[in-house]
Amino acid sequence: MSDPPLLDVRALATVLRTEDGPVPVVDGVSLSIRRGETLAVVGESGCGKSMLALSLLRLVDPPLAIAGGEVRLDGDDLLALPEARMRSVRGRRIAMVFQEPMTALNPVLTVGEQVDEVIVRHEKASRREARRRTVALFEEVGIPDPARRVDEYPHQLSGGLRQRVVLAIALACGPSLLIADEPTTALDVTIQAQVLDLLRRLQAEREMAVLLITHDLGVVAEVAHRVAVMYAGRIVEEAPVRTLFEAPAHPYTRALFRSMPSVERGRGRLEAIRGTVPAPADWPPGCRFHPRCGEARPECATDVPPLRPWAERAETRVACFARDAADAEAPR
Amino acid sequence: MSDLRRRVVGDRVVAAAASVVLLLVALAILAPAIASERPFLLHVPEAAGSTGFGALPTGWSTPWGTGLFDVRAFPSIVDRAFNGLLVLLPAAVLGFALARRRRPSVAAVWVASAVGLGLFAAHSEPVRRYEAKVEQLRAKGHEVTAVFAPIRYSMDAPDVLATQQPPSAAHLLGTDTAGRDVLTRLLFGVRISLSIGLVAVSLYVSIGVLLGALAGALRGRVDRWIVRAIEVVSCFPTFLLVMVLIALVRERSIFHVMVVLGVTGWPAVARLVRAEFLSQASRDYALAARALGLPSARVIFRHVLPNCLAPVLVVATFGIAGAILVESGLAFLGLGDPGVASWGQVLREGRATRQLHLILAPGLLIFVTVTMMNLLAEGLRDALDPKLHREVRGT
Ligand SMILES: Nc1ncnc2c1ncn2[C@@H]1O[C@H](COP(=O)(O)OP(=O)(O)OP(=O)(O)O)[C@@H](O)[C@H]1O
Ligand SMILES: [Mg+2]
Repeated sequence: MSDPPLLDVRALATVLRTEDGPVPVVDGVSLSIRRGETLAVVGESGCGKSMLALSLLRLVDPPLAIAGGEVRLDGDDLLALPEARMRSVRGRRIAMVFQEPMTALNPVLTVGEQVDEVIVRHEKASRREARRRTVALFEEVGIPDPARRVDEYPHQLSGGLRQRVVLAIALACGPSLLIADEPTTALDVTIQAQVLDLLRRLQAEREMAVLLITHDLGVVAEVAHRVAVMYAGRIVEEAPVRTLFEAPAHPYTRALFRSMPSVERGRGRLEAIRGTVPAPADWPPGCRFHPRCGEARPECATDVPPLRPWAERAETRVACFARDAADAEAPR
Repeated sequence: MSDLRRRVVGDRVVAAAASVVLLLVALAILAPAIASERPFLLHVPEAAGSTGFGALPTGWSTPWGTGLFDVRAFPSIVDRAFNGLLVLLPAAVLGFALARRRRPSVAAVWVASAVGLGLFAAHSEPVRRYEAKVEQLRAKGHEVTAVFAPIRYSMDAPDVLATQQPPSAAHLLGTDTAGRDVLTRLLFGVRISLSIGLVAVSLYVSIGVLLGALAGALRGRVDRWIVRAIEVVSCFPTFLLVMVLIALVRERSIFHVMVVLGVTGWPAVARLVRAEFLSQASRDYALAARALGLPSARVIFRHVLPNCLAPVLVVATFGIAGAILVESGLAFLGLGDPGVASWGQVLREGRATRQLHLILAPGLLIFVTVTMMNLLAEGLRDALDPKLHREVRGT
């Protein structure tokens, strides 16, 4: 922990501006990623994972807006950069891979053109030089016959190949941070495994940091080093991946695991989490999970639990009054 | 695109419409090669030479070629522009054939010089009655060689001795009150109709695409102003505006019609592009382009805009049909350009002189052209729609 993290996010807040005032969508998220590390952000649909990713790149459009916080990449405060400098961060220092490879590629441009463009823009390379590098990149991400594939349109490629093209675009300028928003959700299982393998290999080779957004705990187990669990716009627990799987701390995390089919539990009944994820406008005060929580205490309904180290596992940080109370009672 | 072609051609009706439209384009370009009083090739022996006014030149000459850019033979710039195409197309074909073997720049120089030569070769000489004069010389026993086009009349060369002729072997559709061959005038009328459609529609499509894209891309205040302008301009009564303007100007010209149609026609296109833009801009690929740090102008014009243009193609095809109707209507009302051969004008004469064939022939032409254009537009729309849906579903 001696060297400073590559990405350091402090109390990032993104709100939806409505006539009744701002509604938080990302609410005071703090996290950090070191070089070469993969941090997974997991959480149910609508908890703000994608908004968090877009906020890091400052790509939130009205009526959404970043309301506060700090995003430091290698020491540069991204939220304070002028837009022109921010543009040279996007695609070069931070690249993003989107959920749907079908829609993340432009249907009217050849896939080669879409990679060339980024190289020409950021590296001031000539068209020919860019094309040469594009073919090399296609080779690197495992696209067969790259010299021919560069001239094809997205609809001519299979889903797996398209996601490889999307990865090639993201990797084109050697970013130090790759944000992958559910990169495999839209793919079938075998292709999913191939793409995850590829992602892991590229990350190791290039010593890239990866922020992996997913709601699939299986994917997390496979590629992540650390995990942040998000619920209703806040991070409720953060831990190394092994620790999280062995000893989940937050009641929400535990519920997530119970709702997931697992090999060990075999045919045991799956438990759905009680209640439903509320929309941002209906997020309750206090701990946002308390209406659905079996361990809720009186203060959970009024106060926001801070993210604190958990006594049982020092490497876990958890935001839960129930855990805090248990820690206090436990004999030292 | 090959997918698109298969779909359009797959439908027989649409395929027929497309071929009729292509045929019309070919007729428009080839018109002077089909109907011209000037022989392609002429040889008058020295012995037959005379120095009188309008006499045929002696020796070998090519009156047809030298007359292509003659302002007296073709007073309207529309005709000279189409004649330019007639010269340009073979040169372009030749140029591309060469480009396959040599560097493209060579071909470009080739094509450019062909065009330049053609335009600079423009000169002016009196309109003659070539056929009559050739007949005269032959009657006197001279050996005259003359190769004529299939129809030996020009669009604007009246035969004052043969006005209002009924259909005959010489004049298949007869002649008009000035003694001009009606079939020839209808043939050159294809040029007027097509150019009205193309120029007016290109004009308003350009304006509409630009304003629609600006509104969709910039949102906010710009968007509100453009939407307001769309609402105001789309309330203009186009036909009335054209009539007022035409009535005001001293020299009537089809360019006035083109400009008025162009300036009033854009709201439909702008509205369409704006709506399409708003939906396309929220697609992942647009966000992805921004996430790659591309400048906004590039995201707008290279990524989003091309994805918005398919429906514009359909509107433009419908628009061409509409513009043709407006021009014919104006000419029928006597507000057309007197310097050009327009179908509406022939129709007007037919009505004034009560000759059925002069009403039926141009009427049928207008009907067929407009119907085929509309059919083609519908075919395009059907062909594009499932493609768009399929892309959304991502199959
Ligand atoms: N343009 C918008 N306008 C209004 N609300 C929005 C907008 N975009 C997102 N939201 C809201 O912000 C919340 C967070 O959305 P986000 O897309 O970040 O969720 P997510 O965690 O990525 O979900 P998923 O797993 O489905 O991708 C959602 O509840 C959504 O309703
Ligand atoms: Mg999402």
